[in-house]
Amino acid sequence: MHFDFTEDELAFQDAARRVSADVLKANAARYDDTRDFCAESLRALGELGFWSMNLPSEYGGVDISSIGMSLAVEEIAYHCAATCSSLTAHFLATDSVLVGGTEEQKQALLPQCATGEKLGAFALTEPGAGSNPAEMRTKAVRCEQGWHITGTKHYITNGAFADFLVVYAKTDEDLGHRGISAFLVDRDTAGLAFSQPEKTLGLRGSHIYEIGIDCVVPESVLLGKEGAGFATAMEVLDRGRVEVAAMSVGISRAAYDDTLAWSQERVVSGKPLCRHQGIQWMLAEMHTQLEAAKLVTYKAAAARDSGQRFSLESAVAKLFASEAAAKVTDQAVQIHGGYGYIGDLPIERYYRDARITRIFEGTSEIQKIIIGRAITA
Amino acid sequence: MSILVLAEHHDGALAGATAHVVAAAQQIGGDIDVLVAGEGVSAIAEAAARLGGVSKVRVADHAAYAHLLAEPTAALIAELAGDYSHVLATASTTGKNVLPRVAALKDVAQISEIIAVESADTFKRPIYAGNAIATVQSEDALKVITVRATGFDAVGESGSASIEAVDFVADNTQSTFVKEALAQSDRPELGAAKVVISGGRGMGSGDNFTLLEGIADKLGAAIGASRAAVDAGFVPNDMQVGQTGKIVAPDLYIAVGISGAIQHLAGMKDSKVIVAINKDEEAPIFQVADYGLVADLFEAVPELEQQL
Amino acid sequence: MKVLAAVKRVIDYNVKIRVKPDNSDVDLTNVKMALNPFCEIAVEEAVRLKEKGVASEIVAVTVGPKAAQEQLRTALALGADRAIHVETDERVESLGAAKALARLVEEEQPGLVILGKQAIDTDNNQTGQMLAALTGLPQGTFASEVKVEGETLQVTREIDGGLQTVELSLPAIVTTDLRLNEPRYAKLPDIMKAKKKPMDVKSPAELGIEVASKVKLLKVEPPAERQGGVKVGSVDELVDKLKNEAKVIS
Repeated sequence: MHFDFTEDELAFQDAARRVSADVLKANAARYDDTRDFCAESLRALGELGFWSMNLPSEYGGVDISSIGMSLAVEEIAYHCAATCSSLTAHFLATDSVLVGGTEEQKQALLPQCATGEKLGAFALTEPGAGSNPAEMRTKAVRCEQGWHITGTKHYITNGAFADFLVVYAKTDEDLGHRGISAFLVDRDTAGLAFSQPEKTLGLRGSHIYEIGIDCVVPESVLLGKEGAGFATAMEVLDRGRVEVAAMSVGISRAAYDDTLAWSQERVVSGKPLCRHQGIQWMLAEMHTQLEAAKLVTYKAAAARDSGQRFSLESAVAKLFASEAAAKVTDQAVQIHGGYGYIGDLPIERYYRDARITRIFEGTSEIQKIIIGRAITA
Repeated sequence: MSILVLAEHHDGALAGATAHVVAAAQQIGGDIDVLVAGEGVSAIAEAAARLGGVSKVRVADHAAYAHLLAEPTAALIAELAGDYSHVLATASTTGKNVLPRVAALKDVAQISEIIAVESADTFKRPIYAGNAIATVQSEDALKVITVRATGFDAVGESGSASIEAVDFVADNTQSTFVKEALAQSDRPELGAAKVVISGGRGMGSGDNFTLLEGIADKLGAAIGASRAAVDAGFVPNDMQVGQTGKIVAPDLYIAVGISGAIQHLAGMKDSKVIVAINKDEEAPIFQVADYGLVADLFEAVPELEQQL
Repeated sequence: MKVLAAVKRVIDYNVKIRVKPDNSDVDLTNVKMALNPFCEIAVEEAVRLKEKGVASEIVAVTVGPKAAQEQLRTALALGADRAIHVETDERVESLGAAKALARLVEEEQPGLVILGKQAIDTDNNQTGQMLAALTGLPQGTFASEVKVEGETLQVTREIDGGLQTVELSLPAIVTTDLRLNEPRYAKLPDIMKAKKKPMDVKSPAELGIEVASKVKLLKVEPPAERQGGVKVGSVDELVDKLKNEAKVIS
């Protein structure tokens, strides 16, 4: 085992840090405040090629390792978790195409997704099917023009802002999860009804929508093979969980860095906070949580590139890093006291932004099920 | 030891900074000569001769030295440098432009922006934007140094140095002066202002920032704002002082209705004198303020304006 | 016209520095390093000159440790065509760097050399001026605008209190100020392509020079801590203190 990043990985980290520290940081508080969609920050990332990080060069990607990608995701989340969430949602959509699409579909769509021209959304979750996609009600029935899809999806990041949605639907209700297929649905397709963006606790610059679907799409938009949707979604989520872990690390690190600096400047009872042992212990816990979260995240990223199954590693990373983010951002608020609770400083935003990482792309409880099954199999 | 000080001058007058550089030269010790280079500079030479502690003023009055372009000025100083152990200039854009060129012509190092003299060859200077202070020692026979004027108290005008002309005329075919446009703005630029007055969320609204204008006019100050005031939409983004805005270090910083969030402090804590006016006695801004006034800004600010 | 853009590896400007406990220097262990911001502006200006058709080739150069190749790679990703690394582990200050660069100017014969006006670590603001002296070329320091007009160069300089424009014969040395341009960000595909661009490595000995500094760094200390001041009871007292104690207003 070695712990050095490659030159490429460091270069990506550096590139992500630069644009994030300038552009994303400048917009982050405003997005949170106004709940405006993070369009400008997302576009800035697109122009520089960050939308392509999950893709190989044959589809317009840059052939960066998953570790390099995770380092970049971490930097992006460090300065604006909302933008990071919209970006990783885009990766879920393009990963779906990469994993489940035909060669023709990949060639037709992915290069534009790499350059920032087309934004994707990943439409799996339903009001009645969150942690267990097999319970989904959305269905696609063959018709003369191709497929008639009906149902409701919710919590769909990027939703109305996306150019296309990867919609998962049952094409055979008798086959359970093996009856699920995925469809590449153009955002302007007649019969898609987007709600107003949900009023979320955190990640307010990254909109999520409920989408009513009653549309007819041509045969050609069926992603890959009929019935392969569930397997695609599961692999995509394995991949995506590494990014959620990286995003959690980014939020944690932002909260930790700000808190460490604060503890060195803020004087209480005649000495800086960091000279009080009780605070030092809290800082030590934060530091340890953060370091451990980084390691499981990078390990999962390395596993993702190994070509072997990495469901276990990605679930461990997602579980640990998101729970760590909860602890670290909570301690950050605590050490800041009242300053951590008000909007002058980004601390309360980190706290709110971190909360979703334990829920989306599989709750912590689902991760434990995955881990439990894997280690007892 | 003997020291040559390059006189700084603008618009036909000796710049005040020169008296500070002479003070630094006095701390080094030895004979101090002042070089006045320029075109039509006899009045400046006379002013330089009055500076305390100066033995001799050397005047290079020639069209070649108009505007103190680097190429001829450096050639002139390099020509004279053989007589000296030290060459000093203000750490102004002129000094910074010319002195490194002099040093390289003489194959010696240059020491930039000293703020203290430890001995004839050892100096203190800020590095990393003032976040650390280095003590450096020159091993060169000739020390070429720029001096941060604020590090030294100016010498008085008690002197009566002799004035002598320098005949050397540097040959320069490489550079010509085209024009100069000095800033005419009534309000100095935030980043460069000697006095800054900033308002925070306590100002209550953008309109209330006019309260600060009277003081700014009287003190020739730039007006800034905390992030909270910018975020609240009181004032535009480019007025923000702080980690994410402009970093300022004026001689006087007046914080009005600013609590002193860490991100704001990061942008102004290097100011020489900090005044805080805030009605919250516990506001962290008071931890860095040299003078704190716990008061309602809407009463204190108009009163302050009146008294200035 | 060939343009040389000199760059330096420095601490990332976002990093809060720490002085080593033994006061020997600033602690750079495990600290994030980056391209000096003024050098980034230098590279950007070179790239813009190439985009305008004024520059034909951009050579990024640096003097420093092996790790400084990271910064050369950044310059290549931003648009430099090739790079030259003068590799040394010595503590190099401006004169040593200028001597190395002067040799490269001799070898490469560029029409223009662009450098940052200063590095944000030592804050010397010297290398460009020294390079100009050593090569016998004219200098346009602290540039906020650069225009090539035939055989001459018009440089608008940021001087105390305003702007000065000078005309220089070419070749010339230019150092950048903050307002010269707003540097672009490197694109990810260009970062990958930068690996394939040529990078020459030379030693100071090959160039026939010594780069070690003759200025000894005796001690580095943190600046004096700001002490919390006094509370004043009234505006009267405040004005009195500012006038008579702090002497910042008259």
